[in-house]
Amino acid sequence: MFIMSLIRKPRISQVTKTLLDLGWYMSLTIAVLYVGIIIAAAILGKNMMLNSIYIFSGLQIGFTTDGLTNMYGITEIEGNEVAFAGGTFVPFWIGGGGAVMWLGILSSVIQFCLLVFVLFMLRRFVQTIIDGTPFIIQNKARLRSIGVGLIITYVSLLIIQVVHERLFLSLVEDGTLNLLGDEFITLLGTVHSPASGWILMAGLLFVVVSDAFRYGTDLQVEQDLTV
Amino acid sequence: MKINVHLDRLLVDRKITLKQLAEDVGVTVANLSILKNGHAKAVRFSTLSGICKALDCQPGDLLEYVSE
Repeated sequence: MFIMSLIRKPRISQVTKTLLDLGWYMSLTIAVLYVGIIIAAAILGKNMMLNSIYIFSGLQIGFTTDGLTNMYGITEIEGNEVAFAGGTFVPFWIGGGGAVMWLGILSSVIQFCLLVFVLFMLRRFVQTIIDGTPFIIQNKARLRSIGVGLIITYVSLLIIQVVHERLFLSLVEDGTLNLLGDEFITLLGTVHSPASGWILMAGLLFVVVSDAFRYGTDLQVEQDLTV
Repeated sequence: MKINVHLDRLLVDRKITLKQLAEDVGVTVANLSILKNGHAKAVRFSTLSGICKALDCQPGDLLEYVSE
């Protein structure tokens, strides 16, 4: 389908729609896998090792609950987020760090939900462009909801990031993590959620563009009622 | 302020259907229906002159201003 759209009619909106479709179905597949792996891990417990499943979107799920102990003697669960939202590496420590782990998982889930939501809205939006009716009130609402979703996600990730780092530092202070110098800085650098400023900027941009679409919709209605 | 459109009356007087008029003027029946039912927000001069030509009338015969 993707190749055909390139050959037949290389309109950028059609190619974009095909890519969004691919991302959408891939995300749904990842979601099913994600839930399946979590359920399997919950049933089979810590003896099970499901190590690092890398999928196209950048979602990496690695459960190494009994297999791998890192160089600091801490058993770890390791996860990553959706590449769309930043793809930053976030290790979750089990040893004395249950809250850190859950915050990391929460961060991943928030970003994944954002990806699914944005894909869902963008697919419909691009379809209206292909249909030749982009200036409709639904598109204004779609763009605004994407923008608000991005802003909310940014704020959520920012809060998680701050709490995450505080928890990480408390692990160092109480001796659970015994790190010095470069090792400390390297690990500290990995313990954060990607509350990237780009997410905030994109959110604001979507909200502003939605206002432009409201104006466009008004003009379209006037045009439609001009005989 | 309100502009009344007397297209239906003129069509009856001239014994012309909306479809025939649409073909003569070169607009869609849907657009003429919008005009006939008073839902139009604007009328192009080209449409107005086409209707006047097809119905052999003046713009004043088609449109009437009513103060509320």
